[in-house]
Amino acid sequence: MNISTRMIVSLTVVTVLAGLALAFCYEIFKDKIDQNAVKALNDSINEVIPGAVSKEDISKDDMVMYKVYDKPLSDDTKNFLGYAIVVNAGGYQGTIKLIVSVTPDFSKIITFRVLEHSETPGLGAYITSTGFISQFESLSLNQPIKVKKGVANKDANEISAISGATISSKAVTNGLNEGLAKAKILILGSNQ
Amino acid sequence: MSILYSALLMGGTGLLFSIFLVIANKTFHVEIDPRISQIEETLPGVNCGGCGYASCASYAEAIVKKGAKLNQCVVADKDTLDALGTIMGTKVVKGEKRIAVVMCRGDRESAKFPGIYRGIKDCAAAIYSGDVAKRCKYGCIGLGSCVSSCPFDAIKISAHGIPVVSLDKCTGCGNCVEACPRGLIELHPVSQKIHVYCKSHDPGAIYKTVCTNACIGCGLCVKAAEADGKSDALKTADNLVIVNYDNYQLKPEYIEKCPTGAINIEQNIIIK
Amino acid sequence: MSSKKPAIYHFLKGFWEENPVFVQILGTCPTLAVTATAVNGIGMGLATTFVLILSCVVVSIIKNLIPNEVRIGVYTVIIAAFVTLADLFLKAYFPDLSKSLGPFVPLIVVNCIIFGRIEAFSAKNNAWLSFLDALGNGLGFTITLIIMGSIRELLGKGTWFGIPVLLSFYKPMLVMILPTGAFFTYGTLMAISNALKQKS
Repeated sequence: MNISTRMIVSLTVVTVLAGLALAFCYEIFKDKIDQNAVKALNDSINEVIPGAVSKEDISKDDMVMYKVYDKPLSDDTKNFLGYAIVVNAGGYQGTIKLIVSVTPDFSKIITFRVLEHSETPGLGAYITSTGFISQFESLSLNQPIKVKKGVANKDANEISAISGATISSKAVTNGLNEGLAKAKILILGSNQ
Repeated sequence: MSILYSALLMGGTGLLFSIFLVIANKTFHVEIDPRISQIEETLPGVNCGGCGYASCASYAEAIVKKGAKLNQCVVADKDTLDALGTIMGTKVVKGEKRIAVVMCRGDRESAKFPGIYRGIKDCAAAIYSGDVAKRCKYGCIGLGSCVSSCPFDAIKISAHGIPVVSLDKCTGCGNCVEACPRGLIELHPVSQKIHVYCKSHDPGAIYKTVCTNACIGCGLCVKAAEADGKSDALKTADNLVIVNYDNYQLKPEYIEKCPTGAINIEQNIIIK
Repeated sequence: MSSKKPAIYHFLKGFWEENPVFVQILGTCPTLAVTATAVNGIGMGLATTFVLILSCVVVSIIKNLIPNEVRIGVYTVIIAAFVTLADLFLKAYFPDLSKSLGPFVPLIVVNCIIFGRIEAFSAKNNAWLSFLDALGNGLGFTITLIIMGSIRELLGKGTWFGIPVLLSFYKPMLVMILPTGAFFTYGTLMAISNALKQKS
């Protein structure tokens, strides 16, 4: 066959074979990959809400949100422990992905964890440290959280920025404020 | 049936792009004379540049399209030249082999080295070090830029620090000629065995402080040639004797009176 | 004009004589980007080796069937298929590593080592030699990445493969795990490699 036909046949055959092989491989690995994602999510929920056993997906409008219980969903004696909400914040180097837990009446933050970030090691990366995170625990959700450089007044809903990483600190705080405000409206309605 | 869908999608994309490439191939097609690739395969494929072209491929193209001479390849042996002749339908006669000649005998024993050079192992770089590398401003520095440029391993730095050319490996491609920053290497026919191995214009009065193998332009060899009736074989200019290569007529008797050994025979160095 | 070399040479040259990182200077992007830790180095190295071997062998088997005009497209599809396979495998069985390597696993498709070896070697040699060449280059790349990753992790964090080694008395030099440190380490190691080569 002439060169043009050979060109068409060889490229098409290779792409078809590659497509078949990849689709086949995807089927093989798909389940394990999904399992990993579910496990990662459950692990992070367990970290922000201790004692979590089951969750109910109430995600809406691009916000990933869960109601978390201390017993399996089928168990009627289960207690509602709180909400677990995934928040995305614009950080210094890229998106910061957080999972934050709030009390069942949406009045206070329980805690949060950083799922993904690309902040500078040694500076912005301190947003993952317990020292930084613990400042947010039990802060009220009735007013926005404020960032202060230097000493912060916890009663006034303030947290202290990481020295040398004000942008990352502000990113997390603003992300939490905005994300939780949006989640509050979606969950409790706009008149709260 | 996502497997089938994936295969169709990939295959469809492949099909589309291959058709695009077929069209591009036809649009940008260049008619190539098959003799060009035949000649290119016959040539040695070293891409040394000795023929005067950048690569064997461009020389092949020049032969077919621009009528370049078939005997320009310095590396080709008789069989290769005959094969070239057969492809183009002509006879080929090989020109006389030329080899590289290094016009300097200022080695570690004869030349003065005022300091120790510790820098980049490149002759052009060393020139910028001032006189540290070697006192003679015209002579060979011996760091081996010529050695690195040779595609045939035909030139090496001797134990005394001066390049020596291997007569059997040198093809006269000229890469070392280009590489020498002081222009000390020249290509000459193998039959020419006597040369003035110096390019220094330093006056005779100081030559002992610079290099004892220097040519001081005393002209004794010129007079010997004149006495033999060959008055245009050699001439002096600015403390240096120049050989007439357009009409090469040197004989061994001319060099006997040389006080420094600068004018000498290739294989048989007279040590003074 | 090259002499016939024994097959084992094509395997060994990837480690020192034609080391992809310091001699061929290919694959610089992942070398600098993922060597902040030793485990990332070994992960990226092995993933690249896997893709390199499969791509080189497949190409050397089918090289005579592919017309010259489409070879770039065909080779790229083959490489991309194997990279996707490696990516899926990592996501399934090494999710933490996959996450920390991030976008650099898909970037293996355009890692110059792979296309470089295919064009320079596999397209002109048989499957066995191509396999040896790919294996040698890949393992040479991996070892180099481990060395770079170890140096950067030890000096930049005081740990090695996550195990604290220097932590007690040593204050880590943070710059080593930043891009600056990557260039420092790369340059220094290349200078050492060149110096050793010049001596021999």
